[in-house]
Order: sequence, then structure tokens, then C-alpha cells
Amino acid sequence: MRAAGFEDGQIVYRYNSYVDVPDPSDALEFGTQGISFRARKPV
Amino acid sequence: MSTHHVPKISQAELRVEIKKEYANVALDPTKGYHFHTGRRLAGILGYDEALYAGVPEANIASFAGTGNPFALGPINPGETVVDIGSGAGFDSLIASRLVGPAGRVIGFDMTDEMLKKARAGAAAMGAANVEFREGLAEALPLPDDFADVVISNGVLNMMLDKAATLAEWRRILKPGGRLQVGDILVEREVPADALDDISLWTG
Repeated sequence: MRAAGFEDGQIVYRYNSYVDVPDPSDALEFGTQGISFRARKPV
Repeated sequence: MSTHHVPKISQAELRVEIKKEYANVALDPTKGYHFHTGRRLAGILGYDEALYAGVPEANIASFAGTGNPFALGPINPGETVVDIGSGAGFDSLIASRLVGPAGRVIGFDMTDEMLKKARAGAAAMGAANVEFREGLAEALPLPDDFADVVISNGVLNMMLDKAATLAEWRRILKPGGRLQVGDILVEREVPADALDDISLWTG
């Protein structure tokens, strides 16, 4: 985030959102999680 | 996905596969994907049902985000919001209610079937403050310092050059503007052969 010019970058939430998906992907073996993150453009 | 390995795929190739996948999500949201969709997914991601009361069922059904931009901070009346990769319009339609008639929401997507569904949803809601345009996440047809808030949900992980994409999102934000994004992370190192597997990028 800093490299892209943002400040105050923060992952606020993580979700186990891939549990029991109808068609599981091989990507799940890498510990895939959903996240919500925020940041701000400097003034 | 992040590693020093440069994937042997191009964004153009990836774009073709993403369009195929998300056209299916628009047309047949309950088919069964690598991810949950619709109301069940919204529940997993902590969306308050009151937020999307009034959003047409078809637009809810094709929701396929990875996080919850609305849990990260308020969207205020009168603000300008840009939704990057707006899909069937679920988040944009929520944002349109939050910004109210004095605000404005622009959703960008590259999948025709999603754009059609999102526009139909806005029309059904009578939402005159939201529009859906064709556009790419890495090259947005907007001026600098345009938006109060940029939201996106499940898009950044499908971009090969994440730093450049984030820089583009920063460009369109006003100084002090907020980025509120749903995405994914992986807890373990992704091997090079997996990074070259285009199917793992789209689902």
C-alpha cells in the first residue's frame, strides 16, 4: 500500500469465506482467506 | 498472490478467463463456483441485511465479493463513490442508497453480462445517482482527484500488477480520500507452477 502512495493501510477483517464452497479450488491449499482492508490517500 | 516469481500469463489472457467466469456468475449465479455467492456470501462477510434491503434479488444473487467495504468506515450522504469491478452492482446499489440524491456512484466492470444486470438493478430501484460503465481496473477513465471513496470487492487479487493498479485507484481519489476494499490473501507461499495456472487466478 505504501508503494502505491497510500497511508494508514490496515487489514481490518479476515473471513473463512471459502469453507464449504460448491466447487473447491486447488488454491485453498494455500490458506486462502477473504479480507477487508482500508487505506487513505495522503492530504 | 504475492511472490518474486513473475507469472507466465498476461493480464489480457487473464481478462478473457475472468470475463468467462463472471459472465457465468451473472447468468447462472447458483451453478456452483470456487466461491460462495449471493445472500449466503453476504452473510459470511457480515453485511447487515438492512444495508441491502431494496436491492433486487437478481443483483444480490450474483454478488461474488471477497470482503465487505461497508464494514471499513461510513459512506456519507453527498459523497462520490467509485466501485471498481462492480459486477452485478450489489455494492454500488448499496452505496447509491448511502450517498443519497446529492451523491454519486460510478461502477466499472468489464463483463457485459454483469453491466447489463447492474443497470437493470439500478433501473428497478429507480436509482438515478448510480451509473455503470465499462472499464478496466488498471486504467479508469476518470480525472485525478475525483472520488471521496473507492470501493472494490474481489478484484485486486486478479490483477498481475497490484502496485500499478493501486496507484491508479489512488490517482482518482481526492486527497484524504478513502480506499475500502475486499480482497483475498493466502497464508502460505504459492509455488511458481501454481502462479502460472490461470485457473487459480479466476476462481
